[in-house]
Amino acid sequence: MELNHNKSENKLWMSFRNGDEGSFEFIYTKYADVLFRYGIQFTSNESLVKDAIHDVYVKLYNDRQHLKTDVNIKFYLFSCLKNHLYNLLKRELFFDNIDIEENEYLDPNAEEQVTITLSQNELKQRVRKVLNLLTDRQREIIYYRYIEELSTEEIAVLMNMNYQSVQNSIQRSLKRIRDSFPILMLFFILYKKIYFC
Amino acid sequence: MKGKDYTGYSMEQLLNDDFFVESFFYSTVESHIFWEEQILKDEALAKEVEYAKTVLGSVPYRKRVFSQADKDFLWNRINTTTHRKRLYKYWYSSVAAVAVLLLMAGSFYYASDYAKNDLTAIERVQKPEHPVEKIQLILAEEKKVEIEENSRLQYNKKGELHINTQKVATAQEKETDSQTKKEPVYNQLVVPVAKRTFLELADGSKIWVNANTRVVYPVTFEKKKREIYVDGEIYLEVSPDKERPFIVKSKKMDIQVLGTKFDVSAYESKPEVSVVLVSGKVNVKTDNRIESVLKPTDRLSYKKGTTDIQTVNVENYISWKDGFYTFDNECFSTVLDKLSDYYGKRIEYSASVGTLRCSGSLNLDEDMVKVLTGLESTMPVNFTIERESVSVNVKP
Repeated sequence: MELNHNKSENKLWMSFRNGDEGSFEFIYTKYADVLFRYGIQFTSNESLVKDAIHDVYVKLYNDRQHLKTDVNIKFYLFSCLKNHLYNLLKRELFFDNIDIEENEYLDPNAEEQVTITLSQNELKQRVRKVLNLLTDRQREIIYYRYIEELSTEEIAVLMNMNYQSVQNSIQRSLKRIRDSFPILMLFFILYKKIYFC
Repeated sequence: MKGKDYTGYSMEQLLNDDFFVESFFYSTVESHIFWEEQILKDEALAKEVEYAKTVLGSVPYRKRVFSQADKDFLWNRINTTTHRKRLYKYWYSSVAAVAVLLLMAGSFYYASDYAKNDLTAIERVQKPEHPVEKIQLILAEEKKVEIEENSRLQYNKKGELHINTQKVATAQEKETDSQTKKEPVYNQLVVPVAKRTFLELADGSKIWVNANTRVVYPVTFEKKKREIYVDGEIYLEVSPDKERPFIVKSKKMDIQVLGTKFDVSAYESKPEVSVVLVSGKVNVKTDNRIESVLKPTDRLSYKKGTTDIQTVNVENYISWKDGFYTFDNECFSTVLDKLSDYYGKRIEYSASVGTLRCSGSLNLDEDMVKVLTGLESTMPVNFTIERESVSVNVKP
């Protein structure tokens, strides 16, 4: 599935570079939402994030002839957005702290909440607590990895870190989570009703 | 990945596994069944899966709604800004490399945008009225010199021409040292079908010229730049000269280089043009006003406003200069088209012939009949040679 995705992305990018207006619009339609979601992690000022997205696309349009031919569009747009946000905010960018109540979790099982046991719920609480206690850089990396599905190389560029440091950070975060698991959980494995859909 | 064995996997390893993460966020019937089976037969894994699932479902991030209305409004803003900027003049990026682009000539609608009075002097040099049979060198004042195949033409620094080390008297010698105002003197080398030649310019740059090609060049280059015009295909090894960029002009492409090796295919009568870079760096500007920078083994092809760059085995594109064409699992249609160009005879074939695959090399010093006979013995086809064309059919 990934290969097909890359091929059509490449075509889209090439036709955009060649000046096709429809492709430019499609790149907006496809990525503006995730760009908004990304930008909003750095500041709750929605208006500012929209300004940054505007600047990203205008610059993209103006520079289209000089752009590299082989890019991962989402990643490229992300780095552009980070740059423009930095220019607008005029400060170092870091992920904002989020109150647990304000959070919305990417949990496809959300509707199934009613049927989970106390143990499962307790596990969830602990994990969320740990994830919230991570540093903002650690949270940023986790966000890139699991919400935006970027590769380690791409994360390294966005964070201005090297590949190994990114890997280490993820491992450290996961270790903290594991260390928080109560011993009670050992009995949890007997609970068979585990499903993904 | 499906079918992979996940026994012994920890939460950390699962979270590092693309299939696992994907199954959580974009589950399918297959992935659901797969993971069900895994956790049913392995309790330790089931525990790790549950941990990993919980982590994925707990990643905190701020969520805000980007409404469709807001999204559309922002798009309008972007559109307004970009169309305002469109009125600004087009500017060139700094050109570092020279690209040799062969522009295939051909009726191309952009051509009408180029008014005749925009052509530079070199582009206005007329091509010969009648097709020639022998290689011809047209000097200033219409003086024509016939060149034998496999001759070596060489211009020294002063612009004196030697053919096979023998000096040729040319009209240019009467010229005094050029003042910058004086227009440079152009020579035109015309190579007919089924022939090739080699030319060394005054600055030491080497040009291999393929069949059905004409090259226009000044006897000595100007002070600020080195410029030639090509209608056909050449392979170029440019002498480095930081002071004077080398520019290859053709009908649909201009290539600028500092010192490098590349092949340009730019026949005026064909819609597609291309450049293959062997070494160095080139900047290609095509007539849709788009510039591309190539790196070695890049092949840029440009047709009707669309540019495509791919990585190729350069040998297949430049072997002609040594007298043969090489193909590596190439479509037979490409081979037949190349032969048709080289020998100047139309070759007709059906789609089923065109899609056959072919590998090998063909000796360009042989005449067409011999080459086709050779092909008949290796490919399941028959060639029928008529006066105006050749037709190809699949062997029954």
